[in-house]
Amino acid sequence: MSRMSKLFFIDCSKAAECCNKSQYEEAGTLEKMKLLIHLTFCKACRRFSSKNSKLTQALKKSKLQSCPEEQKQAWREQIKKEFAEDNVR
Amino acid sequence: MPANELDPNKWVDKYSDYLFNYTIVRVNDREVANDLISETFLAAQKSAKYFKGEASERTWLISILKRKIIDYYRKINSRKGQAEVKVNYSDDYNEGEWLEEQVADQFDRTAEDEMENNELGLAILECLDSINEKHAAIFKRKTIDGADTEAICNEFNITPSNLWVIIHRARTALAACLEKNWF
Repeated sequence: MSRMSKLFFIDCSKAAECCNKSQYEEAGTLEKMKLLIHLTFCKACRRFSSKNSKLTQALKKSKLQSCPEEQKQAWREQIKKEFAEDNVR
Repeated sequence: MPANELDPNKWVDKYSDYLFNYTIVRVNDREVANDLISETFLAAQKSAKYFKGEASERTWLISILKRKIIDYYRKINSRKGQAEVKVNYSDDYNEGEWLEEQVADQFDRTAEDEMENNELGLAILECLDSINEKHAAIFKRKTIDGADTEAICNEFNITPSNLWVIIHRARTALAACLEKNWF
């Protein structure tokens, strides 16, 4: 029984990790199962889990994009250059 | 001593994602958005001496960017000349069909929706400002760029379990911040 329980029962921090992984579709089947079992008896994790999926929805809806690193680097250089020219004047 | 000070060397790291997401929904073209942001940084540096420190750096940059976006539309509008609007409803064949065309398409996503989602995105970026810089960077790589766990671990020299702890902290902080400011 103790080996069985080790296989299926996880603590809250492990459950949170599984929950986060599943937000990125990176939780395995066993992890998902363990999480579900944990959620059936842990109210705090249920609350966390629902907040977490709400956040995932919000992130999806927001359609955030990041601009490419090369562009950022170009801006950094532009600012540095302008700064230098400003100091010469 | 003003409440806020400008630090141009940090602008790109702190605000470029914000400015980019602000601009992209308004001009709908990456090239144009990048140019407008370049111009914004330039103008901001040139007029830095007029910054009184009453607004935050971000607000100030956005106010300059807004002008640039308006100028951009003015320019393309004058280049186009007067827009011609042709309404052709007197066609004998299609008599009455125009009524049908006027009905709103309920599946069409409205501009208001788009705008609200964009504002949500900006609120998310603003919330990310308040968490540890490195954690925010890792969170963005994972969530916005959708980068592989392994790739991020190599990039930042961390282990996968480090990564999941960082992601956990970032998500918890972000959820709390959005709860307060958005939902």
